[in-house]
Amino acid sequence: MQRGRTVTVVILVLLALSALLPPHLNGNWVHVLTLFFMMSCLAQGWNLIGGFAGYASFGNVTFFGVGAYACAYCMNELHWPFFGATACAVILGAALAALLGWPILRLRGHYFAIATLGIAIGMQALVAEVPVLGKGSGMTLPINSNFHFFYWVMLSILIVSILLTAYIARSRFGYALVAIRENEEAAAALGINAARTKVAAWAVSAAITAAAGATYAYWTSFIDPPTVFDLNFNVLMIIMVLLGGAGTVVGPTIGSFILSSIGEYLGAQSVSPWHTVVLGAIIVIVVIVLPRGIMPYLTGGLRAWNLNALRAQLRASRI
Amino acid sequence: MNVINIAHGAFIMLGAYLTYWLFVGPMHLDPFLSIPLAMLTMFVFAYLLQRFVVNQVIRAPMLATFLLTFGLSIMIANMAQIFWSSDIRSITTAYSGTSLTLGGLTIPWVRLWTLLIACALTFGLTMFMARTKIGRAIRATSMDVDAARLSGVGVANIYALTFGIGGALAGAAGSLVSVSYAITPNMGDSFLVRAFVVAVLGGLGNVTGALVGGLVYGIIESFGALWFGEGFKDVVAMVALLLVLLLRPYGLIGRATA
Repeated sequence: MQRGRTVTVVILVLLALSALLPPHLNGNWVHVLTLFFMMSCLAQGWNLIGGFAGYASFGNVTFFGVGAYACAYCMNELHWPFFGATACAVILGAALAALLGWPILRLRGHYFAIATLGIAIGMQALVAEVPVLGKGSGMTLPINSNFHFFYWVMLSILIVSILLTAYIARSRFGYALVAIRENEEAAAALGINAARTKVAAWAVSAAITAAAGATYAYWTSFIDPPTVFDLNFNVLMIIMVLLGGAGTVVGPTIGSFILSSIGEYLGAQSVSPWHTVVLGAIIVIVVIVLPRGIMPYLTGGLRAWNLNALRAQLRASRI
Repeated sequence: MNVINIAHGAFIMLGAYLTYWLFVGPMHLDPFLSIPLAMLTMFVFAYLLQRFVVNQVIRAPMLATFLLTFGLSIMIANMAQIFWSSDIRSITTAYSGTSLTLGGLTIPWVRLWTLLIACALTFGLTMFMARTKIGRAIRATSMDVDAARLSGVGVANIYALTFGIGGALAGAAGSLVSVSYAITPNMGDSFLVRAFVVAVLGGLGNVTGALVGGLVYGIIESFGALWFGEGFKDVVAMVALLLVLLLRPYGLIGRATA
């Protein structure tokens, strides 16, 4: 546990230091890092419901899209400033998660996963039919070409979400979530209000995701339903969390860093389907070798050079 | 079996390509006749994949199989794009345009046969799961792996067989959709989401549920498009999915399992 906290502090310090970088970077790197921060935010958000509570949500991208559209609506139609619009997006995202979560979070396992998938698909189709949201043709936001601004905003959301996760992990609320993940009936028997705890976790998860979505909308200055409700975002959230380590504080950010690095490295060569094949192969190998993600190796639970422990772990996952 | 197979869509795509190559190849095999061949090929492919790759993580924590099969899925889809290009292909048979006119109804023959074969396969699978020793072993393994193993079930083989059967059905589905839909390396994606929704709508872990789920989903989607407009068909289908799950949390004809 002690080493876990050290890893968290190191990552937070590195992120805080990266705030000094933009003036020294060219535009492409600012873009790459902003995207990395955004994906990390999404992964941190997913981790609260998927990693801590053990409810695999395929609908978290809904809150990304809703956040993006809320921001666009508030800025375009109501002429609110960006931060006001983002606050509105965050509140709307959390409220939607609470409203949908109340009935949906009673479903278990795959049924929950598919119900949330349904929400994501249904919401994308619904938004594409609302005239004031530009229907299928999307919305154009006021253009802001100060890309350093978005770098700092995304970085701030990420740091806040990591601090929030660190706080939750050591709070009654966090322990209640882990108890629910391990055995929901037992948790309820211990006096945990499972329904309320899960809904609260999803609302916090949605709030982080919506904040990232709102910033994304202003950053790219154009959004349409297929982009901001893209299910690939959701799949990526899950992959990043599992790569890093589900239910850990900074695992999702580490997973996001690994995935972004691989993507950048492969993308830096010429673009061809072979990159995706290699990416797929890397994912397959990583899952087999690190079924619990990379965090156990960083926190000392497992050591990479202890081949016996590694072999024992591999044997435990096999059938 | 509690394994989320993201590569299922890719399997359907492979089945469709196989049917396509058999059709344009020197044999000119009819798409419907290549179903057994597609099923056999995909069975072997899926069996080996599960036996040597997916079985490695079957006991790993939540969603490891999801991530693994996602990796496999993007590998398969992109290799298909490399070897076969992303050109859109389609199969046009002599009877493609013909249809059965029954009273005021016009039903394309191809679609009718597709429905009948899907029903036959579902019936066959139900019988297989209910009556054979392997079917019983599969059900036992999905209920409790350790108890099944203690009772003498070779669970590694059973997992691989189950995945193989899933692959065979995906191969059959590939042959069936190849006559009605365009064949592309990424065609699997649109079927994958529907396959999940349909499986859950009917109830996981039972074969009849999948057929009921498929029919209900198809009808809701079509009537949703008719009454509310094409744009709302997904909204209607997903609202229906949520309502069904709220009233019947384990699907239309599913039951709670431990």
